[in-house]
Amino acid sequence: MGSKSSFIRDMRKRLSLNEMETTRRAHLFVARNTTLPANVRHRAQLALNNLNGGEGRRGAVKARCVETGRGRGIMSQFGLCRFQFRLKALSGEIPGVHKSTW
Amino acid sequence: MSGFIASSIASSSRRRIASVRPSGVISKGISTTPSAHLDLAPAGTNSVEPPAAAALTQSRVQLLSFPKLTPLPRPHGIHVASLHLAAHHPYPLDLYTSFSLHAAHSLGIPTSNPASLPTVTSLYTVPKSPFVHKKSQENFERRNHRRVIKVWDADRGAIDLWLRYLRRNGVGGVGMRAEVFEWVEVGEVGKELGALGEKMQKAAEGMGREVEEKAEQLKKEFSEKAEEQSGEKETEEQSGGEKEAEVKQEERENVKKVEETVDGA
Repeated sequence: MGSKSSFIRDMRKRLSLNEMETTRRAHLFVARNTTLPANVRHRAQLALNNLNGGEGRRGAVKARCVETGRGRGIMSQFGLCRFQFRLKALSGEIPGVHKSTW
Repeated sequence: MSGFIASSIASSSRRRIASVRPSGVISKGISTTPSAHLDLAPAGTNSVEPPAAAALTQSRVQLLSFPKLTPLPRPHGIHVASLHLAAHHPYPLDLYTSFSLHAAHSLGIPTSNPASLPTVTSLYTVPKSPFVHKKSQENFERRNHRRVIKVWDADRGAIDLWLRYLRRNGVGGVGMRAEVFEWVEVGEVGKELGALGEKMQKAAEGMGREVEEKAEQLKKEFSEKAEEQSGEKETEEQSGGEKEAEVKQEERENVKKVEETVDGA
């Protein structure tokens, strides 16, 4: 399940992503634009490295269970970990999902 | 809708109108069931019914369901739109499909019979326990039942009216997606495409626009800084060059003086 600090860290990352995404994309746009002079691109890259202490990356956000905050075995379609998915499916809380037999 | 051309080239523009995800729970009452039919007494619960009673039961069942439709004629045979319906359970799906067929019929829109697309079944297998014990697992599934209704020869206004009516009277748990085809004269295709491109660009301008504006700012900022720095360097070089030149001149003068003294001697 992970410690409480890991949930909070993930929340912080999500918030900072929400805050910094536009700025980061803009920096990357300048840094990777080959039509611009190398000096300008290098400056953009340096500024990007210093931006918000490197936080606000999209890849840093981790899928976590909405109910329990577990970081592994998440079913991305439902946003739940596998055990919570089972409990909810059995109680009929997930639309259309039921026990299957064949 | 003047100038119909029954060629597939002209039907270049496709539009999605209504889209409701079938997985979403929509809390809407079923306002479509005819209430006049519901106050009939339920069918007899006897295990063995006499033939007359059986016939009565059947008639009651027929009353409870939608009446049969006589298909409307298709004077031109041009496919104008198709309505896709999907649900996890077949009952509300069939109910809503027949409701939409009847709605189309009473608006005078010729439609096809509902076609059943293959049911998509997604399976999920999870361990029963919260921790380890992989050997005992449990299977779950979710089925997606789908129907398609094709629409022929209807005016765009009529289709829009029909779709609006369907959206307003939607049944919980049934998703809809409408594909509406627009027919354009051949000469007009270029203009239409241009207009469509502009529309799509406007739609795409969400976060991309913001990023571009910010990038433009950054570009200015960084290039100004770069210019400042290079300007400083140049001034340094200039001043350094002058000094060197002065030194050289002094040396030359010294050399001259030495030569003069040599000459004098």
